Amino acid sequence: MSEFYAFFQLGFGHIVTAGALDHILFLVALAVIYRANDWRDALYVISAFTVGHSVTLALAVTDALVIREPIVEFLIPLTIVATAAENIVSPNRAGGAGMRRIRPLLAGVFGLVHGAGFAGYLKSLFVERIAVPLLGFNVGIEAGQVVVLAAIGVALVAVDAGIRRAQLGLRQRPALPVLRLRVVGLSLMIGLVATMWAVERRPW
Amino acid sequence: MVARRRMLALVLGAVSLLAVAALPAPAEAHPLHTTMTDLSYDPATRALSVTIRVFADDFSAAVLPGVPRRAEIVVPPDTAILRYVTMRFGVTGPGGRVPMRWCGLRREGKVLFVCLRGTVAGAFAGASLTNRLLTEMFADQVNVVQTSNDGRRSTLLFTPRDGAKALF
Repeated sequence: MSEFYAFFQLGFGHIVTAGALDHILFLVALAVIYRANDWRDALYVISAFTVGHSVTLALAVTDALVIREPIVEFLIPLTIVATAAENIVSPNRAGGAGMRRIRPLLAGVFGLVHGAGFAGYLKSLFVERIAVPLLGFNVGIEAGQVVVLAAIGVALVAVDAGIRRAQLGLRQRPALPVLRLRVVGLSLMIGLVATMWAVERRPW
Repeated sequence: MVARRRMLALVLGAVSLLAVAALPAPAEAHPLHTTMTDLSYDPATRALSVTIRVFADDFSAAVLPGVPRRAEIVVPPDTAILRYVTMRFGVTGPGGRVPMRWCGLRREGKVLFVCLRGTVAGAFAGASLTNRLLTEMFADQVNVVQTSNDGRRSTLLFTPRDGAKALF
């Protein structure tokens, strides 16, 4: 097996696992605002997130950036809370041109924080020959995120169907569009979970 | 109509709370369960050199499973480490298992470097490697081994499902 492929598998497995719950929850928070037709926008945003954490990871592994792990572990759930809050308060969802510009930027900046979370572990292990392992690991993470994003897409379609069924069962004329209910409902849940993590990981 | 809306809000709220309660709360951000090993073989001297890099906290807990974890990591004695490593990591040649000798332990921050040496008695062609380090602790454990045989490099990857893999 090539060195690249080995580290690709390591990165892929690091995302596609139940242990990656904070990472997956952030991906859900990023993706929850999109309709099935907006999959390109969602992919663009997830890729911006990968670019962000790749930059920090590379800087930290090469000692160009010194990171205090307790602070990073606290900041990671805060990025999830911030994304969930932004989902709830922003009335104009994926369709807006402004949102199309801001969302990847937000994902990229928050990706910088998440990359610092990986760096604490990887810095110790990549002692020599950093370039190929780091590239393989990052490409593996991106591939894993695409797989997770596809699974999130399927789950969101099921959530939408569930909301429609609940509305029909209550014989209720929809007061809010299904998308808005989905965004607000899931973002509230995600924000609540991430707030609990932030409290548990607070560095003081 | 208002009552129905309230009912829908209550149902959504209850589902949200149930989902939140069902989610585990990781105190640590997304740990990476992996070890990194350099294994090199010199055909001229038949010497096998192994350096295993492990995270000290998880590794110490695996070597001394009965000892509760503390904030300050207690590194196990060399004999206990050697016993654990040789039980879960080994090179097997056509002539049988290659005996490994202890050649030291170094700690750099969160990482331990375990050094082992061996000498291959007979032929080495067709040799295989087993690496089950920490797989008894973590279902997502991935052990990476970078091998070198007379300058030729290769990488092996072990998950908890993997048995022995061919070297070189």
